[in-house]
Amino acid sequence: MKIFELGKAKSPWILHYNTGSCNGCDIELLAVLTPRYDVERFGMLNKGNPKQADILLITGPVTKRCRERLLNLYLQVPEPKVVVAVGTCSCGGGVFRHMYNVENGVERVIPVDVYVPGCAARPQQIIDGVVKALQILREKGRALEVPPHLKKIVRGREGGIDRESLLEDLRRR
Amino acid sequence: MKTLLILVFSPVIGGLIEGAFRKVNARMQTRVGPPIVQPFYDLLKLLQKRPILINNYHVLMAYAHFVLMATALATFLLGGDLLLVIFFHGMSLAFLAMGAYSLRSAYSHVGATRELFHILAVEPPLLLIAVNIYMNTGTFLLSDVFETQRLVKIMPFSFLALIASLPGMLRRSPFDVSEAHQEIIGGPEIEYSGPFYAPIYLAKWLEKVLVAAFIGIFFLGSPLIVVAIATSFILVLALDNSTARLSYWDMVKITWVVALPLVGANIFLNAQGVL
Ligand code: SF4
Repeated sequence: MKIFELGKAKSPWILHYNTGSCNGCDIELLAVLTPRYDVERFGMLNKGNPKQADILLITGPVTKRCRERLLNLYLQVPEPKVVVAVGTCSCGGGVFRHMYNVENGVERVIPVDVYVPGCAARPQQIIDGVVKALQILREKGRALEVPPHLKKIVRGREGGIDRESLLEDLRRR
Repeated sequence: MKTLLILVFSPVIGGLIEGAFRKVNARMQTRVGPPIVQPFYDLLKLLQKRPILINNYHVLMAYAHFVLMATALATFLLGGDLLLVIFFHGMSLAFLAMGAYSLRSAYSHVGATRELFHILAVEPPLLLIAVNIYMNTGTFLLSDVFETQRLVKIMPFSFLALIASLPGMLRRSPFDVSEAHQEIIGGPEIEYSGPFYAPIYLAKWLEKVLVAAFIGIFFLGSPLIVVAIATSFILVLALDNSTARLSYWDMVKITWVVALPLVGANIFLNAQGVL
């Protein structure tokens, strides 16, 4: 039904997670919420709560300490959901690429739908990326979405994480 | 028939009030703000999310919260007992707290405790206002109270007390302790997601209608009734945008110190026949 799709696309609630970024992109992200750019006109709210979020905005190159938390947050967001990687670091490591403590981008841990490059990504770009994400969100259903490389660590239909195998999986990489 | 229509459309009215709240709030911050039908989009979206159940009791309490809020509103609009309305409203909030206590989530627990303090702060002034209405009309039955005209003329201080407890009732700053989005991320509602969050979201709309109706009691028979309700709401929003959150204990203290003596004064003046 058209109206249901409209509801999905018109009311994206955001979860912002910083996986060890330099804070540059986070400041730009917060600028998006201020009167100048005002994303609430698209119905976006910064919820800060994975269980009520639709769009995950992730900044930073994913430090090794953050992997598990990022995955945890991703699995807590109910479907339909989209992931937007904000900033060059989260797209592929950026200035932190190949450092001993980072994962070189969000896509190494969870699937990414939209990449917003830029160091730091400009607010206009971020808004553009999120609006692209909305089109993807429109097409997604509410079937459980588990990235292939994570299939075995997700327990049952509820989407709980089997901690042991997750840690093992991360150690192996 | 008319009341039945109001009842059926009250969620719609509530949604529009909620949307107007967000719009006016945005305009006060010189933002454009979401369209006024935004809450309906939100509700549609919530219903389409994948349900993530934490435990059955938790979800049951969300529905109990909604059903009791709806009962309170229906009792009010159909002309039931004013005391019952207030008790249903209080119970509905208590159910929200009980649902939040049923989890092992720290924020949820903090939020539930604050929700109980919220009830403690908001309900006594309401009850005293009801007593004052009884003094002046001789009945708690709203269908009889609806016959009266311009109660605000004989109960001005009670009306001020209601205004003073409005930020608390609408969970707006400085008294938004139980929700506190930047601090405990929604408090009692933090663990609800998707379709289970929808009843709570709807209950918020109904609560707004209930509060509007409560303000309306004071202006019955006056053409200014809508203006009065809108002005009080805008006042609340202005306060919301210009103050910071207080602690829950301050909330109880301030609401009681300001609102209770005001109603008390009004009751006293009514008893002396001054007003
Ligand atoms: S992309 Fe640049 S500005 Fe953004 S977090 Fe990385 S280093 Fe900082």
